[in-house]
This record gives sequence, C-alpha cells and structure tokens, in this order.
Amino acid sequence: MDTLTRDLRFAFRSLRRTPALALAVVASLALCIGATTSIFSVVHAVLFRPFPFADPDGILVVHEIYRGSPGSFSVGNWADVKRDDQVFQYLVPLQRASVNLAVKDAPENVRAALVGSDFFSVLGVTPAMGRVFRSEEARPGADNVVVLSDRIWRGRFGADPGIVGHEIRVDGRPRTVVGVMPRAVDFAITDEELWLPAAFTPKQLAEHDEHFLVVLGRLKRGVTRERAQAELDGIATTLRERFPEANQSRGLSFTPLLDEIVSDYRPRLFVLLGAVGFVLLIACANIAGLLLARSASRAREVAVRTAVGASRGHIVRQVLTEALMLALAGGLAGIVLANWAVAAIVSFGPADVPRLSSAAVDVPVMAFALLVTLASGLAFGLAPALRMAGRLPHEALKEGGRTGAGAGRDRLRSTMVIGEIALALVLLTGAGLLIRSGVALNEVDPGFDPHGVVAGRISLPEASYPTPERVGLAFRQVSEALERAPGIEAAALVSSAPLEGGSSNGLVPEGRPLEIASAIDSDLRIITPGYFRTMHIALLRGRAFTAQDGASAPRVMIINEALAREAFPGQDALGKRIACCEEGVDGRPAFKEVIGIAADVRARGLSQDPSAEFYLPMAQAPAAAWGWLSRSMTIAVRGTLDPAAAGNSRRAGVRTGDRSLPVFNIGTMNDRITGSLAESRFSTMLLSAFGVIALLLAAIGVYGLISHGVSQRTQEIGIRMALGARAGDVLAMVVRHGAALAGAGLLLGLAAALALTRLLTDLLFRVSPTDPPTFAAGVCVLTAVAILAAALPARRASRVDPAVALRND
Amino acid sequence: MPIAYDPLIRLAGVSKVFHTEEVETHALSAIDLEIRAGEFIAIGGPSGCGKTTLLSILGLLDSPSEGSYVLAGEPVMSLDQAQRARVRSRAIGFIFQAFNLIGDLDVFRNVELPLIYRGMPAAERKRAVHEALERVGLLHRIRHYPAQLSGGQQQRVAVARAVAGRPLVLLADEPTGNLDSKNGADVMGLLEELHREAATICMVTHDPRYAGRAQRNVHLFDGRLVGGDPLHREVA
Repeated sequence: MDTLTRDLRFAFRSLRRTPALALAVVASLALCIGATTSIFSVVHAVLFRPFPFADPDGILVVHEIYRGSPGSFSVGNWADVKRDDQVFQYLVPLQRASVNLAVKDAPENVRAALVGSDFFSVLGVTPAMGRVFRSEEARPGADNVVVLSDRIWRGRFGADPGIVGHEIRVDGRPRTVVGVMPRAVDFAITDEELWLPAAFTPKQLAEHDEHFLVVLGRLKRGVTRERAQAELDGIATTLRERFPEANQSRGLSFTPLLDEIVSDYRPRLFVLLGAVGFVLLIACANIAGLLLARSASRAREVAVRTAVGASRGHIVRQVLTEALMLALAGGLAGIVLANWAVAAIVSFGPADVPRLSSAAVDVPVMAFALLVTLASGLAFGLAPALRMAGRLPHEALKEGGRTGAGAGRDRLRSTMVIGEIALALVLLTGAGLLIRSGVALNEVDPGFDPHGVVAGRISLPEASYPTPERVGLAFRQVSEALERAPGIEAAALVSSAPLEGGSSNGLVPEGRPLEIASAIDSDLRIITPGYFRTMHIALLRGRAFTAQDGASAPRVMIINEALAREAFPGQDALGKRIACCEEGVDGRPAFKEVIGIAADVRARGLSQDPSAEFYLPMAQAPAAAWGWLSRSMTIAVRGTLDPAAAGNSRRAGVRTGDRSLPVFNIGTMNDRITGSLAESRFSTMLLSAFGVIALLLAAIGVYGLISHGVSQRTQEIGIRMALGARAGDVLAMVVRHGAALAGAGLLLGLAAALALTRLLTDLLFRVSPTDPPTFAAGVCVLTAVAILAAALPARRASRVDPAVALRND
Repeated sequence: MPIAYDPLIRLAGVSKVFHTEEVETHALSAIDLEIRAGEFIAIGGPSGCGKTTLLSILGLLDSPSEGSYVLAGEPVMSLDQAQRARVRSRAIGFIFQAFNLIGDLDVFRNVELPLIYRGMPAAERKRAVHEALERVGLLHRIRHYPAQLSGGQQQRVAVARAVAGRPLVLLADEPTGNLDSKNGADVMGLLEELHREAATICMVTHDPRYAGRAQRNVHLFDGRLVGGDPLHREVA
C-alpha cells in the first residue's frame, strides 16, 4: 500500500512537471473515450440490453415463411398452429393498429396493439396497476377493455391513480381501463401506447389467406429450439395439406425477439463501434508516442534511479502508474463527455432506431468505459515503460556527458505512426464510401415529385364504420371535401403513400394457372382518381382512373412498369387482364383489365429497387381490403400551403364528414424522404466525424514523430549542412521521412481497407466497397496531410544553424 | 588539390559579435589572415578565445559581423544560404573533434554524403568514396556503422569524408581532441600526408605537440590574432 501511495505521489509530481503534456493526453483521451463510450452506449441499448422482461431470451417471434422470406401470420394459421402445437407455452397474436382516442373531446390518434390475452404472460410482466387481459376477453363482444402504457397514463390521463375501472373511448367505442403497465414496458419492443384484446370472429379464425399478424411465443420448459422447429415443420406440412390454396409455398419458423427487432441495425452499429475503436487506438498510439518522446528526456532520471537500486519492475510499475493516472483522468472526463453525447444522440439521432431512446451511460456502460480506460492506459503506457526499464543505465549516464552524432530513428514510434495512418485510411475510405453512397441516394429519382406534397393519415373506427359500404362512403366524402378546399392544387387518397409500407397481394396474369405458385407478389395501392396528378407520377401508357370507374363499372387496374415486365414479359400489358384481390361472382378469382402503365416508384425507400405495384380505384376496392388497411387511408395534397396550414385544411375537410376523426402522421413528402434517410445520414455523419478525427490524430502523430526526430537530429542536420546540404536538401530529407511513413501506412491501410470495407457492402448504395475514386481520394488526402504535418518540422529543420555541428566542446 | 589562387583564403578586418539578451560578446575582433594554397596552418589559443568561431566563418557556417572574406578569389561575404551550402560542398572539407559521423548511415554512406550534396553522379561518388577510404586504410570497414568502429577509426572515416570531394581547404576542429595519443598521432600523420600531397589544411588545436606539426601557427586570444610566424609562439 505504501508502495502504491509512493508511486501515485511520484506519478502526480512527475506529471505536474509537464502540465501541457498531461493536459494534451487527458484531453485527447477524454474525447476518444467519450466517443467510444457514447457509441457503446447506443450499441448496448439497441443490440445488447436485455428486454425488461422475465427470461427475455426465451421470447420468440414466430413467422410464416413465404417463398423463403419470413412474413406475417394469417389469423386462421395462427389459430391452427396454436391448437396443434405441443411445444409452445404461449403463442399469442399481435396486430399493430392506429386508434382514435377521445381525450377531452379532442380526437387523437395513438399507436395501439391488439394482442392475445396471454401477451403479457409471454413478456413476463405484471401491471403496475390493475390487471392484464383475461382469456374470456379475447371474444368479440367481451373485449371492451384496455390496458394503458405508463407513457399514455402519465401523458394523457395525468397519472390518474384511479384510472383503473374508468371508461375511455377508443375508436368511438367505450372501453374500461383494466390495467396500467410499468414504465419499463414503454418502447421496450415497439412504441404502442395502449393494448386492446385481439378478439377474432369465427370468420376471421377461418381465414387463412390474409397475412397480417405478428405472433410471439415462448417455448415450454425443456423444449429445445431444434425440437420446436421440427414441430413447426410438421404443422406447416399439415397446413399446406389442409389449405393448399392459401398455404402453398408456406412454412413456419421463428427467431428470438431481440434478433427480430435489431438485426437490421447490427451491421451499421458494429461499423460505428469499430470505427470509434480505431480512433481510440490511433489516440493511444499518439499518446504512446508522446510518452516515448518524454521517456528519452527522462533517461538520465531513470538511470540514476536504477543506479541507486531501482529494479526493472520498479521502473515499469512507476511508468505504468503515470500512464494509468493519465488514463483514469481522461476516462473520467470521457464519461462526462459521453453523458452529453448520448443525450445529444438520443435527442437528435434517427427516430426509427429501436430502443435508441433508452441509451444512457448506466452501470454496464460505465464498466465498459472503465475497462477501455484501463486498457488504453496499458496500451499507451507499456511501450514507454518497457523502453525506459530496458535502457542500460551506464549508456544513459554516458550520453548525458558527451555529444553524439546521428540520433537513431525511433522504429517503435515510426511503426505506431504507420499504424495510425493505416487506421486513418480505413476510416476515411469507409466514411468516403458512405458519403458517396449518400450522394448517390440523394440523386435517385424516387419516381414521384415530393416537393409541395403534404400527406397525413386518417383511420375510421370500426364501431362507427362497421361495413365496407360505410367506409367507402366516408372516404368518398373526404375526397370530395378535399377537392372543394381552397389553396389545393391537387389532392387524392391512397391506401399507403410511398415510404408508408403497404399490403402485398398475389396477382395471376390471365393465361397462367390460377394457383399460388403462379402468383406475382405485388404491392397494392387503392387510390382516388387524382393520385397520379397529385404525386406527379408519370402515366406512361393508357389512362388514369376517372369517376366513371365506379363500383358497378368493369374492374380495372393500373400497373407499374416492374409489374408489367414481370407479368407480361416481352408483351404489351395494356388491355391484358390480371386476377387478384377478390373472388368474382362465380367464386373464381376476379380479373381486372390493365388500363394504364405507371412509372416505377421507389415506394419502399430510395435505396430499394422499385417493386411490382398495382393500383385499384377506391370505388372498386375489394370489400376485404378495408380490413387489410384497418380502414385507413392517406390523404396527399399538392399545393403551396405549408404543412400546418395544409393539415388544417385537410382536417377541415375531414371534419365535414366526422368531427371525431383526427388526421395523424402529417408531414411533407420531402420530410418523409429525409426521415427515411435519417439513420443512414446519421451513421455517415458519425463515421465521417471519426474519419476526420482520425485524420487529425494521424497528422498529429506524424507531426509529433517528425518534430521530435528533428529535435533529436539537430546536430546531425547541422553536420549535413556543414557538409554542403542546402536548406532544400534538409527540408526534402525530413519531408521524405514523413512521406515514407505515409507511404508505408497507406500501403498497410489500403490492404486493411480493402478487407474491411467489404463489411459495409450492405450499407452502400450504387457504390462498390472497393470504389477506386474513394480509395484514391483517401490516399490523396492522407498523403497531403502527412506531408503537411512533416513539412512544419521540416521547415524548422531547414533553419538549423550549421555552426551547431562545431559547437561540441 | 588544385592550386590556382594566392592566397586561397583572405580575411580582412573580420569581427564577430554575438548578441545574447542584453550582453554583447565580441568573439572575434579585426582578424586579418591569409592562407596560401597548400599551406598547413594551426590556430591555437585557450578555450573561448574564438577558435571555433573563426573556423565556422572560414567554413561559411557563420558570417562575420564586419570585414571581408575572399575564398579562392571570390568574395563570399554576400552569398545567400544556398550559395554558401554550394561552396561548402565543393570547396571545404570539415573534420570535427567529435567525428560527427551520422549514426544511421554506414561508412560508405557517411563518406558519400557531401558528394551527394555536390550533385556528383553515383558511379563517380562510388569511386571517390572507395579512393578516400583506401587512403585512410578503412576500405574493409565500408559497410560498418560508426558505432561498430573505434574512435580512431571513426575519425579516419571523418577524414575520408572530408577529402573524398577533393575540397580546396580542409578545416579541422581539434581533430585529435577525442582520441588517445596513439590514435591522435595516427590522425595527425594522415593530415601531414594529405598536406604533403598539397592539401590546404587549417587546423584548430590547443595541443602544442600537434600545432608544432603545422607549417604555420597563429594564435587567438580574446578574439584577436596575437601571433603568426614564428612557429610555436606561446600566449601567456
């Protein structure tokens, strides 16, 4: 203990003697450990933090597998699987919905989920107040109950402690609040604000062909995942045999809930974590370089200590103590910085990253920060410690008393700087690739003109609009009211606007066998006649829908180019017929005539290739479609109004029909496009920032090494000048040293970047992970910066007074 | 060595004043000195008398505050740094007390260095280096590094480096100062041999044994030249 205290006291005194160096080390460490901790905090919150549920790893998402891809369940399939399976303790449905909540006579739309009665048992959570659903409440007519989230209970009901038992109106229907969930459930899986019982009718339970349910499960104790998959395979076979039309090409599988939610974000977050780790490594190399330079000036001190009896271990321990003191100071400051950075990331980061809002510098993150701090201290302290302890004392003592020409170049420091340049090149090329990818995304034509278009969504409650006719009539009234509204250039209703998702249907072109194997998966958009005019989507051939394409008129459809190519390869699709979406009068699938070919739209996101799409006139919408769409439509308005004014305008239009209908998700299409790119832009921005920091650190590394080298070689430079070297020769010699370091670093960096940028493949758009211009730009920037960093000390070197070579008496 | 100028070096009224903070130090005062081509001259004097400053000025490493300096018929007072460097690489060979070999370079590269700065082609350089090393008897050490050589050998390499480019004048600053008497005598023997071959040598030394082996002695005291011929004049 005495030894430790003595070492600490001596380390403190020693660092106090060089306050500028100590401050530089602590500041750079604080920045880098702060950045690393911040990114780890996000990674931990999104990818690693267990759900606040009992045995969270046991929660599974069960999928129907259709043509190799996981998808949603039909109600009928869920009911049959639940009935037949022997391995799941719970298997509950979840259907996301938007519901209208009447609060103080003002309609508000909130996110909700219709869930099976065992939903909270799957999660293993108990309510903070009241109870969860009972099994008998999962029956139509008995389902007039609701469980609130903590968030909505506080936000919209003023944390009323007596809320349980009260009646609230959801979608116009009275429901009794039976429970309030604890805060931990907020945003734990998704952003639902309240839960309703999923009460399926016998007709729904017999429906096997409409797939929209998420199914969560938990295995019985002792059941392995292999056995569960085998069981599901058996049930899938039975379902295919019993319902061949609906279940042909369908299987069953499951994935852990955490993987399901975060797997899309894993690559990008790991890239960011790796990048910030690289930055920390570069900083550690720089600090090690500084300490190595300092160790040279302390050689005599160490020699004297050794001469009076200090062992090699003593010296190593002493130097490491100093390094760890610096590391701890930097780490503590870094944790403070990380707190601010995480708050900023949560506030300004992309909204669609799941669980990001729970990112915080909590105990696990602090433990990580401490570990990184200690590792950093060891990383940058070990080399100087071993070097100082390894010096022979008599050499150091002798060197202090005589002049020596030709100070040897520091190979260890050179190697570290080469490594820094290599890592910086990896980061720069990675950032460059993402930036080029972002530029390419910005240049993509989305297929529609988002400028001046405002969109918002309305949802009709089932209680007030129970039949397809009522729903159709209400939306028609909304559409007509919009057309009368002032200041609007064009307006339309669409079942889902671009970037809003949508429902997929199987289409069979006439002439092919009417079976699922022949079906083409295509996204459905139900629209009013003004849709193409409003969105400025080009109609390439044929005509748009008109008011004449009514309910009793011949069934018509417009398809996009992608569907036209797939359905009628090498033929003119116009006038052809396609079966889809509903049965005809004879019970056979109803055919619709293709009356127009529309341009492709990147409806799933700018980075996604256009998929097959088809449009149906709202007046001919299949009756079942309102169920698929939860009786919701998006209003799109083109005009010169700002979003708020347009929102009011649409609200006014909507309210002419029903004053209780709120318009929600209001925003410009431009904002939606920007929002769809937010996560990509955010990570690009972070990676670019890390790239710039790495570049600066590498420049500092080169500068520090060359500058120290020049100081060490002053006499050698003097000798060279005495022997005839001109200032230019000296300048070139020193810059050449910097260029040689840069060259070696760039070669190493190119090899590393070629290997590592492949990890970015899934994050890139129209840019190869080995894009030559990006690599060339990275090399040029780093070369220029390294040479500039070397040029500053080189200039100093070229001004060395050659007479120093003679002043050796 | 070419002998085309007489005198080879002419200093007239050369003074050097150093200004450090508020102190003005007169390192050299009104030095008049001529050195003929092929002459071997020793500059003596106590420590701090200005010997090294005078050698620095002769070697164009430093400029006088006053006076004129003509080297090989050319006034070199007004040359800029680049021109001075050019003259150094072509006309002057230095031999230092502490050898001043560059530790990172082997013997060949050390000797080759001034020839590179002179812009001599590689083949010519190689030949010159070999000749110089052969002359000092160290050709067999051509790939050794300075740390692998004894002090005497290092100074012989330094001599080889100084003579490899056949300069007009050799400036030697206490060339035996870091050597034991045997190695010191060897190096002095080498300088005498070079002098016999018509090299012009200007050597700073305070060792009367070695000063006596020069053709002419001059003495500095407090920055002033206090004696020339006759030889071996001691300053009290």
